Amino acid sequence: MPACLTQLWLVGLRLLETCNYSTTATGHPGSACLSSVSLKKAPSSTTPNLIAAIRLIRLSHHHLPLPLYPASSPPLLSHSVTTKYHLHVQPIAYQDLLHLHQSSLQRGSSAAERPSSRRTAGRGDRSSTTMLEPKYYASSSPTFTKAKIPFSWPSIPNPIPRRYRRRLRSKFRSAQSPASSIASIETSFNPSDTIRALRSHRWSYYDGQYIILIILAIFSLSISQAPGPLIKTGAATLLILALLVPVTRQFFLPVLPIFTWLLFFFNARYVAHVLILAEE
Amino acid sequence: MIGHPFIADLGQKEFETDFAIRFIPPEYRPHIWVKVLPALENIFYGANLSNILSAHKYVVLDVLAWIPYGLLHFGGPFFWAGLMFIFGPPGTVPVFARTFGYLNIIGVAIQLIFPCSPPWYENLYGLAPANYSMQGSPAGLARIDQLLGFDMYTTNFTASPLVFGAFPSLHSGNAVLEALFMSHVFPKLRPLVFCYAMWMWWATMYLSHHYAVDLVAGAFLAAISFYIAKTNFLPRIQTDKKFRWEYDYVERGDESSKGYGYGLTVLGNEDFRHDSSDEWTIGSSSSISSGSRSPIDESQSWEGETLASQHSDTELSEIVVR
Repeated sequence: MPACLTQLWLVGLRLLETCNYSTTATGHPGSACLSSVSLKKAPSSTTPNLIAAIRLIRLSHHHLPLPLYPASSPPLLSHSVTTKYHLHVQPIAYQDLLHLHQSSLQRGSSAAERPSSRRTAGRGDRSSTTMLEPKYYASSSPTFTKAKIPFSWPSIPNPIPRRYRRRLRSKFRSAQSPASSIASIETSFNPSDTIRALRSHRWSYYDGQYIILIILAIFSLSISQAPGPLIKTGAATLLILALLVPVTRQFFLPVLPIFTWLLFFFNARYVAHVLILAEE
Repeated sequence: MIGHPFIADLGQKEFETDFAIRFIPPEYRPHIWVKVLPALENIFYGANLSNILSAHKYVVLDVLAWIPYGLLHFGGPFFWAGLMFIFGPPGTVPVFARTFGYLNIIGVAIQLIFPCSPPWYENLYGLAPANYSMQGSPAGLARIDQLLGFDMYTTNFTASPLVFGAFPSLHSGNAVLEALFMSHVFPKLRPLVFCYAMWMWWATMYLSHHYAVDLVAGAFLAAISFYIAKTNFLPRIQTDKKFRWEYDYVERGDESSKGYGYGLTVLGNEDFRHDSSDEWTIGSSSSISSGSRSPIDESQSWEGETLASQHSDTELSEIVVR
């Protein structure tokens, strides 16, 4: 899934008719349904009452709350059409669908009415689902995996007792909005996420600011005499890399004007020199 | 070699060897204004506030001035940003960072185009004409270096990249911008953060780094930047929310400037009257103003119970002037 600057909404939705649903989703004008095809392929067309996780990527310029509908009510789609949500359907991987199907069969139809769609909807947090049904998803599931950090944190013993931490955490969790991950922090290290976000970016005049910043930064770097060209090139390369990786991009992109100002300020002494060169 | 202008200003060894020969008289840099700021100071305030404040020096005051000018100025933005990150709506800190950056870029550009000498120049050289070979000065911060016993500011300020960047004061601009953003996110902290800004003002004048005019100009720039950020980009505060994690949506900019309300974007802006007439209330018993598109059950009539009930409709339509 593209995890980009736009806010992501993770909503669980029980699909009564998967085929029917996916055709509607593709019909939506603004939608970039990444995976309606794979949903169609899913064996769910024969089995009703399956769960799909749906991410609604909202247009960034008007943020409207999306109400959570109970699993039985259909108006999610019509709502998303009317308020111009971008609809991205995250397909549940094939084996997950099978698991779901089997577990719902095992628990009988009455229990299948209640599978954790409400829970997924309530929290966007997969661990709660896993806690409910321990063998719900295969551990090798491509859909329900945690975002992995490519390095491990050093194990420093936490001085705060566990029960206080738990209390604090539960306080935070209960205050969290169930429907939105707007406040969450980007954890992806994959540069292709940035490329994808850039592709789906809606260009506006405000993006002209980057041209100004680039001109000013390159000007400042080129008149600068203090570090050699190698260091300057290296720093610029590092910055571009930092802008490519989503984890660092969320910090470096808004901070670009500040970096440009620092470059501009510390190389202001060379402006005289530029004027001299221009005169020659 | 030594006596040539520019050299000391540039302060680089390789400069002296490579470029000294090619120097062209410094007519191509803007004139350095030495008398403008003291004159403005006299016109606006009738006295030189910076000189008055720095007339009597005490160690206690030195430290009191050093804390905001030399420490909080650098650490403050991070502290404020941290607070705004945790307690403000998501998206506040990026707007703060951008505004901060652009404010400073504009400030440095003004300082380059309109170079002015700071108060310490007046103390050292009087009103004699300045040139670009002159070095910067730590002014009052030299006393802090003496007090602490190591060179924290003297070298840096002497080799300052912008010696004649007195106007506008970015110390003031940054402090005021921080105060404005903080009082936007934390309305209750408004007195505190503006005290911080005023503390910074006093410190800059006490340390002979800026005239009062510079401070006001910096604050003015900051206020303009904040106004632009607030009307267009800054996420609105939702008063029932305490932490950033409680927000499930944000609305940016000023409320009045955007036509969007909850769910009303569907209808388009043209569906609403934009004049002062309140005829729109007539429709409030139908689905138009509620914004919902659900079919209306005709049997559930609220006629006679709402503001726009039948008899009041007629009254309203009599009043309305189209």
